[in-house]
Amino acid sequence: MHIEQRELPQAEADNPVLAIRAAVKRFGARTALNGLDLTLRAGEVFALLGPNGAGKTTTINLILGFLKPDAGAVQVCGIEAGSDPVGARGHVAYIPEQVALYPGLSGIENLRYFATLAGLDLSVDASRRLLTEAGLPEEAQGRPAASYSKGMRQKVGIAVALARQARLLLLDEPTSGLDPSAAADFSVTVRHAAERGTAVLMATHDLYRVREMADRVGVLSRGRIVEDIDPKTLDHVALEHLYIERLAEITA
Amino acid sequence: MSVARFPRLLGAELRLILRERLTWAIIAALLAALCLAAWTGADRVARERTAIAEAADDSERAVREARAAHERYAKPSPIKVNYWQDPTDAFGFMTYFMAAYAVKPPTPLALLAAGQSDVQPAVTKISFGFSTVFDDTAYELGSAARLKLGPFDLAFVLVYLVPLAVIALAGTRLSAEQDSGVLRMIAAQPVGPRRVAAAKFGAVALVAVTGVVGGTGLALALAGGLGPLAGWETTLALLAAALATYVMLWVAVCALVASLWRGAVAALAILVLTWAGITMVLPTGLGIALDALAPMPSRIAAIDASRQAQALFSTAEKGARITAAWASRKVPDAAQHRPALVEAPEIKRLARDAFYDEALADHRESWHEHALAASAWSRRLALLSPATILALALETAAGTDAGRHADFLTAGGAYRRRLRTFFEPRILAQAMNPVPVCAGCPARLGFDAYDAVPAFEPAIPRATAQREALVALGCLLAGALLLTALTYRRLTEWPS
Ligand SMILES: Nc1ncnc2c1ncn2[C@@H]1O[C@H](COP(=O)(O)OP(=O)(O)O)[C@@H](O)[C@H]1O
Ligand SMILES: [Mg+2]
Repeated sequence: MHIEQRELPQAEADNPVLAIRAAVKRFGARTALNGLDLTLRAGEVFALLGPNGAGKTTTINLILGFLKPDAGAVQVCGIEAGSDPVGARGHVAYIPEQVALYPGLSGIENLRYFATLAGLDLSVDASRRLLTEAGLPEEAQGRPAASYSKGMRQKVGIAVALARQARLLLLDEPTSGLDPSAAADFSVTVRHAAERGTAVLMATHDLYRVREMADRVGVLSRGRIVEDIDPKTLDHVALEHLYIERLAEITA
Repeated sequence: MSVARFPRLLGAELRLILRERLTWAIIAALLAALCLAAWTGADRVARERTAIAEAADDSERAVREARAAHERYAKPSPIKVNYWQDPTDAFGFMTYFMAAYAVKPPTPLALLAAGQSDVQPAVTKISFGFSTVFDDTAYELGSAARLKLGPFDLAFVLVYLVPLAVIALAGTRLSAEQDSGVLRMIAAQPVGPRRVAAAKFGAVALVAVTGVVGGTGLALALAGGLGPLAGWETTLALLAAALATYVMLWVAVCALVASLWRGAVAALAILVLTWAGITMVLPTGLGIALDALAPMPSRIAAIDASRQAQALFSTAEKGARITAAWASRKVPDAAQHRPALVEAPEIKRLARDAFYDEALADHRESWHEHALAASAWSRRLALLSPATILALALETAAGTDAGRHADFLTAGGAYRRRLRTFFEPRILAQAMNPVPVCAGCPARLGFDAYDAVPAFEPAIPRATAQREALVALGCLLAGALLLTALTYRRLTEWPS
């Protein structure tokens, strides 16, 4: 089953879903982001590549409004995330690196709970359909989430995103810790969402999945995106070369 | 994207709480504690009521027997009856037959708090056989360990254990989610921390208030110890509201600690320390402050004064002089009419009683002043801790607070003096004219005003109890609102 995308006026559809302009974020003396620019349109999948500590999660925190930029602007569908975080988050679905659920509740109950927080009233049937679409097996949906693997929990997260019909999907290291078949599954689900017009920003260092999933790849270095490339133009090995080159620059 | 409607959010949180086994375990434990406390309270109140009923029976028996003697002795008989065997003699009745009691009847809400009841009597017999030095004789001290811990009454459960139950229920809301990572999932939804916190802590407050107030009501109903309320309904309602507010205040403390975003372990540690501070350290400190503000007069000095008075009176010549002075004050022309008056045992006894009373008046007064000052300061200082605020309201409603005991002891002393004032002229009249009223009768037959003997009028502190409950409600409400406002101010953003 497919969740219907809202009809967007043409003008709005042309506007970027995510617009980060010259964002600066400092933690004390440490500058995590230093003039980050990033624009993302509907249906695009953008992979943010970078080693640990490069500022990927910080970027996501800015988009969610958990952090405020020290300079620059972060807009989601035209809404300033720093000044109206709740409004911005209304368009954003986020799947953290570790999807945590209430262990005593089933997948269905967890989904309904998070939907309630987002102001939605999901029926049990609708929840089942969403979870199935997200790839969670029927027989697991009613089980306590305590028994779920990371991949299964992630699928509940995807179901929340589907239910929310968010226009921007944020994925933090989505494939780390997934077995290859679960990761392949996940790629399909994400591509699927993108085809229906969802913009996707994924922070990762999984180069292999990046080629499979992303339309664009940005390499994060010294707090800004130093490379914005189409991964289809490079093969896997070339991409890895580029990445390691950039890493070397950072550590130099 | 529509914003989460609050009632639906609250409903979701309620379902979450009620799904947890821990919630039901806490409520079950609380209910058990409340039932046990209500049951021990009902038992104590029943014992007090029995003691008071026995005292009333004893008073009636004494009068009944005196009347019977009056009838029996109204016929001439060769037997001789001494004054200490004669209830028809005013002095004989007052000293050896009358069973007069000062009583402190339990209020309709008495089973809420044992207060001082375990160490203070509910009934004291007014005796003229001996002159009492102190009115505040404590007896049946019981186990010293139990006294230290305090009785396991409803006040103990409500004031001390309920906050722990609330901490167990609410202490890790949000901070446990923070630890498990669920908070990040929550925070990612288009909803601010204030709404989520309001729903989470609102739901837990609903559960806790229902559990505590409902559980207390159930325990009271099961124990069956509430008297007929007759005018105490308002106080009971105010106390229920104060209790609900006390629970909400502790939920607000939990919310404030959660807003520090330190995780569940730190939150629980802070909360338990706060609990110990508010329910133990602060009240102990207030007790020490009270001792400084209303210092206790020396008991040794009072005992010494009483011994000196006794020693003085028992010196034959001094005692005789004191008796003569007293008699001439009471009956100025006694020396002419009846020179042997000062030798009469009843005159000696009355004079001695008056002498002791006067000799110890200062000490009695300073004890009374101390009791008043301590009670007044207690009421003021109690306002500094939510625990003592609620405890005082419960004890005042139960009529077991220190203030009422002090008043009762004072009233007992006053009642004794009233009885003496009643008997004194009658005894003096008989002493002035010590001829039997009935020729050939064995007894004096000079006294039959048994119905006119003043009765003790017990004080029922209904207005005080109501005022105290209202004060408690107001203070706790102010505290809960202040904490809620602080939490609201802190919760502008999710932790990053
Ligand atoms: N809340 C914070 N306080 C201080 N420093 C932080 C905070 N969050 C992130 N940082 C620092 O900012 C840098 C970027 O972190 P992060 O965005 O988590 O990296 P990534 O997700 O790419 O591994 C790191 O050096 C990290 O130590
Ligand atoms: Mg990260």
